[in-house]
Parts: sequence; structure tokens; C-alpha cells
Amino acid sequence: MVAEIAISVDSVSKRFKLAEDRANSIKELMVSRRRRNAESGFWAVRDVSLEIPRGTTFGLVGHNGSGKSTLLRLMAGIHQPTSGRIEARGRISSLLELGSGFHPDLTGRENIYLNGAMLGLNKRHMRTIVDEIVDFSGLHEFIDQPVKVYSSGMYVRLGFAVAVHVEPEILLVDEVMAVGDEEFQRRCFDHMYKLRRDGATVVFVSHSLSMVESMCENAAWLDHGSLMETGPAVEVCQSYLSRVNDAEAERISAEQAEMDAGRDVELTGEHRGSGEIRIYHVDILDPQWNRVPHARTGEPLRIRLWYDAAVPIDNPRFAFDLFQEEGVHIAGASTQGQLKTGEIQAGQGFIDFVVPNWPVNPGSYFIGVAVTDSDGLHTFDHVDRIVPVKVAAGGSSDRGLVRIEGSFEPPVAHEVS
Amino acid sequence: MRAQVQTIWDSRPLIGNFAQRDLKARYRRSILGWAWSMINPLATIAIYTLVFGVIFKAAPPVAGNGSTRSFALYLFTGLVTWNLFFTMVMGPMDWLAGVADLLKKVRFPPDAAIFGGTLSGVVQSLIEAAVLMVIMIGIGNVSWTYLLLPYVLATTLLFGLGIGFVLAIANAHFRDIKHLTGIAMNVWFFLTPIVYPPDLLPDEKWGLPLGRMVRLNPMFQYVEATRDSVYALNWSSGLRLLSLGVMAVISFVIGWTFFVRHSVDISEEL
Repeated sequence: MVAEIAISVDSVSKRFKLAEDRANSIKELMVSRRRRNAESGFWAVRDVSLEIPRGTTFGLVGHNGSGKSTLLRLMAGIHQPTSGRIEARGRISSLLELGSGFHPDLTGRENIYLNGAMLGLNKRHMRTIVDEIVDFSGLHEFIDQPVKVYSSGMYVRLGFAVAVHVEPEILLVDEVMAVGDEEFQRRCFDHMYKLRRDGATVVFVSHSLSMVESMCENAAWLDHGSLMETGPAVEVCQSYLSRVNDAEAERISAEQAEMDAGRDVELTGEHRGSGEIRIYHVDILDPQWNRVPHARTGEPLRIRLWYDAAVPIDNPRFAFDLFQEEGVHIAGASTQGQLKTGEIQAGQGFIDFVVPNWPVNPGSYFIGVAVTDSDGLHTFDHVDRIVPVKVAAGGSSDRGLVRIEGSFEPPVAHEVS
Repeated sequence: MRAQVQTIWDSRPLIGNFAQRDLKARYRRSILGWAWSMINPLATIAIYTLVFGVIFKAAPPVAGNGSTRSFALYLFTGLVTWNLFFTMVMGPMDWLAGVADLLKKVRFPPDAAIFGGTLSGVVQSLIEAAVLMVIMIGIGNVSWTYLLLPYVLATTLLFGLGIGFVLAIANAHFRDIKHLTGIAMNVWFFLTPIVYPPDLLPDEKWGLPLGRMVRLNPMFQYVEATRDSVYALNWSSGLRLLSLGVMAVISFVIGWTFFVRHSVDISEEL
């Protein structure tokens, strides 16, 4: 059986006029001799075709300015495509930006009626659901205040409450839910699931790939207005992610090249300690001993500490610590109790720390290094949080700072007799 | 045409909401509130009585009851019609601009905002007409010709609204339109015998058939029909009444259709 299509987008393009290519007054129109050609302006969406089956949830992903929001607005009918056809079957409710569709001077309650009216719902119908909307938004004390006094969180709560309670057949949501608090976000998702169970079609834009992966059956990835890929959400997210990683890798390898140039100089930053031996460089290596621009979550790697000893040193202790960008101390490792380093000869060398499965989630981190004597009493060298380490996603992303090793087992029914 | 009628019929709740919003906002935070809609026309009559009756001592035509000669009432009768026309011509530009933010975020027929504003304009016009009627009845200037007043006002509204629709679109593209229209309406006001009786005009001046030209001014016909109905208490000629209806329908249909065709992407211009 072919699924019924709720929204069909057929080779749709959208061009926006830019301020400079439009005459804003009759004088400009008369004076301007510049010929306006059809190619000028900004193409926000180019030749996009996709179909969204009824009753499914669809995600739109892409970097900022990729045309996701424009496509959503085209679906909502707010913009008309410059070329191509877009067809949405069913009553559309949309939540496109903060306080979308609210009139600042009207009270929350009046705005609920206004929004209902825009969807063609009459007063009688609205009266039956207005209490439900107020309850969901949790804005009881403020509902008869003009919405211009609302905070951004209150705006979104009211907006979402209205959008989901008008029994939409199609719900379009731009990335706005991030504003609400955790508890409200959770309620939003619960409600979106409920809408979907009731057969509504949901389209939403999100920067959170894990959210798209977990909520959507299908997704589309847009880049500079063009459709890169559409299909099952998990596959689209993976492709998008690998592209993002590649781009990141490129950027970081450029940074790395810069760093390489200064490889033999000492680590910049304040070295503390007596200085008989110093750590002058830190490398991140993959299992094949290639230097890599960033670590990948869940994959093996080596951290190589390059040292330079001025005199022979007996059994020094090497250590490093990993800090999150904001300074949270995540982990540390030391040779103490694990390895006797023996006598280090004067000159340069390195010591590797091998990680079979890098547990830290994507983000920006710093490494600090230290070398002490065998008892840890005398510090030869200590550099605090100086080496930047980028971590990129490998495979699907997790929440939090580190990945927990482990897996779920199948659910077991537990009957209370 | 049928589709646009259907669309706007389906938008009744929204039109009602816009109208309500407009009316609520009008006298918000004023102590006298809705009394102002009564006080304003009464003040206008008082001022005109003072200026034209006492200072200029203008001589208006005799009213239908055969005894009253009030320039203020003569003038106010014409003003009720002109004010309605003025609101319908100038209003749509503001009504459309007023929903610019909404249009960028939610899809709804833009003409719903215009019709909403029209409704609130009608309320103001009805109050003015009621004030006029009460005074006229008070001085005993009553006749069956009153029955034509709703028709005259309705056609005035449609005639003005058709022009307003076109101007709203034009103004969205070029903001100059609103200022230009303001001036043009001022000129039109004085070209129409409202603050002066039509027979004050010479039939010919500088070789121009002034008398005939005034009669070609549609607003003269609407204003005269109003005066016929509630001041002079004459039955307007059938030709005049017919032409009021024809002009109204032509203006409204063309204006509205033009608006619907050109308002599809209007939110990008606002």
C-alpha cells in the first residue's frame, strides 16, 4: 500500500529579493536605470523535491542558512515558491519562531482566540479548548496580561500550547523548543508523540541530530538551499554528520598545520617546575600512529607526550589531565603505580598513553601535563590546560561528557502476584 | 472570484477577531472610552455651527422640513459619507501594514485583515449616522427618504474600499503612496461640494464647464444622495441611485480581485 502523502514538494525553488534590488519608492523606480535581471536576489531554496507521508514525523537538518526554515515556511504557505509546486493536505498549525502569530498588545487569552481564528476555528470551538491550552502552558496568572510583558520562555510555552491544541493535521515546528525549560520540553515531546499517534503529520527543524534520529521516521538534509539527501532519518543524519566531521577535520587540519610549524618550540603557556625535563609537545595519534586533528568518541587513540630532558633523570612520573572547555576536570592519568619509566637519558623522546576506546563525547577540551620525580614530591614541569583537543562524533552521539560503557538488556515483564 | 468569496467566508472568525481587536484598541486607556465615538461627531457639529453659522454666516439650502437652515447639519450630513469614504480609501494601507508581522509567521488570507478593519470602520460610521439621525429626528426633519441612507452608505463603502484595496498593495511596494494619497484626498475633499453648497460654484470658469465637471465626480453623487436622503428629504433620481450602485460594484470587484491576486507574497514586501 502506498502511504498517503501529506505534503508534497515538487522541484520547489524560492528566491528572495535583496534590499538593494528593489525599489522602495517611486523615485527610485524612476531614477534607477539598472536593469533588474531575474537571476538577482538570493536563492534560499533550490529545486527541492520531497514527499512526506501522512502520520509520520519528518526532520529537516542542515547548518545555519541552509534553507530549512524557508522550506518550512513554504510548507506553511507563508511564502509562495518562486517556481515549483508545494501542496499540503490538511489543516496546518505552525510554530515558526518565538511568539509567532502573537499580537503584543493583546492578552494571552485574546491571542489564543486570534490564533484559533487564523486556523479557521470559531469562537465556540475555541471556548471548549481554551482552558486546556492555558493548563498546558502553565500561565494561569499571566493569561490575562498583554503578551508583550511575557518572557521568551512564556511566549514559547503559550505558542506551543496553542499550536498543538488546535487539532492540527499537519504541525510545523521550527527550532523554538530549546527555549523552554527541561520539564516543558519533555511535555512538548510527549504531546508531539500523542499528535503523531492520532495521525498528525509533524515536520520539524532541529540542530539536534539525536532528537531527529529518535523522533523522526524520515528526514531531509539541506545545504545552501539544495537537497543533499532524503530518506530514513538515521541514514540522513549519519551522512550529515560525516559531512560535518569532514568539514571540521579540514578546518582542524589547517589549524594543526599551523601548530606543526611551531612543533619544536616549547609549549606556550606558563611552565612551572625546576625544568630538568619539560614536555614540549602533545600529539593525538590514531592506532596507525598518524597524527589526527581530533579524537573520535568510541575509537582507539594514543596521546603522545614529547619530552626534552636536559640531564638524565631516574624514573620520572608522567601525568596528564583532561579538562572540559569550561574548566571541568574530567579525567587524569599518571604513570604512578602503573609503569616504572626507568632512567631517562638526556635528550628528546616521547611517552604514549594508549586509549582502546575514547570515552569522551564531542566537544572542545584541554590537556594539561606534568612531570615529577619518582615520589611526586618535586615538580620538573607542569603546564596547566594548554593543549586544545577537539573531539568529534564517531557513530551516533551521546549525551553528557562521557560515554558509559554498557548496553541494555531486553525488557523483562515483572508480574506482581 | 468564487474562490476568493469562499476563502473570505471561511475566514469569518478571523475577520471578527481583527474587527474586535481594532475596536478594542481604539479607545483603550481612555477614561471616556466609547463615549468618544459620540463626542467626536458632536464636537464636529458644534465647531462647524460656530465657524460657518456664526462667523461666516454661510447660507445653506433649506432642509426638508421647510424651516431649518443649519449649515452645520448640512455639512455634517455630507461629512458622514465623506468620512466613511475616507476611512475605506486610507484604512486598508494601515490595516495591511498592521498585520505585517502576523503575515510573516502565519498563513491567513490578507484580505481578512482589510475586511476586519472595514467592519470596525462601519461601526464608527454607524455611530456618526445615528448621531445625525437623532438630531434630524429631534428637529423634526423626518421622511421615508431615510430608507435610502443604508443603500447610499453601503455603496459609498464599497466604492471607497475598492480604491483602498488597490492602494494597500501599491503602498506595500512604495511607501510614498500613503503620503500621496493623503494629499490627493485633501484635494478631492475640497473639489467635492461638502463644506460649500454645489450652487456656489460658477457653471463656467476659465472656459471650463465647472458645473458639469463637479457632477462627474463620483463623490459628489454619493454626498448629494446622502443629503437628499436625510437633509433635503428628496427622493434621489433613479439614475443617480443606479450609478451609485454600479460604481460601487465595479470599484469593489476590481479592487478586491486585484488585491487577492497581488497579495500572495505580500508579506515579503511589508
